[in-house]
Amino acid sequence: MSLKEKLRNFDYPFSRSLAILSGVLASISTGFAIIILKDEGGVIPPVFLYLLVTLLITLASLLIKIQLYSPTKPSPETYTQTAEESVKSFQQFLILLYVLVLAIIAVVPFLAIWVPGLWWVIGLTGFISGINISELILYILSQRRR
Amino acid sequence: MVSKMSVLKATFTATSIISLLATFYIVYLLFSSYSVVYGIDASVLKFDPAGSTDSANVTILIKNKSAYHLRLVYVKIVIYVDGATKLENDRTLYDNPIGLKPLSNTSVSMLVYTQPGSLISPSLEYGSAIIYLRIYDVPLINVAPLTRMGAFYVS
Repeated sequence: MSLKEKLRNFDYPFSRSLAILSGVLASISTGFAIIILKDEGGVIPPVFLYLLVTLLITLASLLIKIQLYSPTKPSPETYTQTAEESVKSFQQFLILLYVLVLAIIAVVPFLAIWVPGLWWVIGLTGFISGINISELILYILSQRRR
Repeated sequence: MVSKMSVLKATFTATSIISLLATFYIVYLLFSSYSVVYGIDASVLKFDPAGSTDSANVTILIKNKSAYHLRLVYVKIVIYVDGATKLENDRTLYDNPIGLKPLSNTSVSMLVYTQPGSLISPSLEYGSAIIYLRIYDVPLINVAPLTRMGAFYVS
């Protein structure tokens, strides 16, 4: 299934209130990032870097979420597998993905030890904004389709 | 067996909780940095020319009212006496930063010199000072350049 087809066919699994929660989190994070970074100087303005990081994380998480929210259709090759094997491999993939996402999320706050303060703020606020903006975009897209 | 929906829900919940916690942490750090910036007081404790007309020994008192251990790396004092005479310290940067313990006072002594051609009056009674500080280990922003102003009486 192509990305366009997935965009047309994905099922948004969460309620409106959870999508609003994502929107609120994204707004708060963006607000704080702008408050903290607006007076910081540099060759490249930190606010611009924040927007860039947010854009990249939004796009990356959008792609992952579209894959996750799309209905899974078995490919022709998988017909040769037994139903039990395909379910098992899919579950393993999901659990691995889940662990990976959790590990990335858990590691982010600890980066404060190694990265300079400004980059930590850009990284963390960009991460929160990006992850939550993508959720909001998917909710709006799913509502438009109706 | 774990269903796809339960994995998605768990990921969403974990992401939201971490986002909320991180947001609260940023707010906490933001207020902490305000408490440091507004919790640092600096004033001239002692201005002692000790008979000299072109230099004086100055002791400044730095109050750290915040709950953070900070490091003072830069001190520049500009003192105006008799309305016009200007004195400045020549050593401003500290290779070994001065520790500012939480909720405590620290005094720093240094020599300040007049500009060529100007002298300190022996009958000097009071003056005014501008103190420029650079403090490290401030939450969130790490480095804070601060300016404090005030008047003082000559001891």
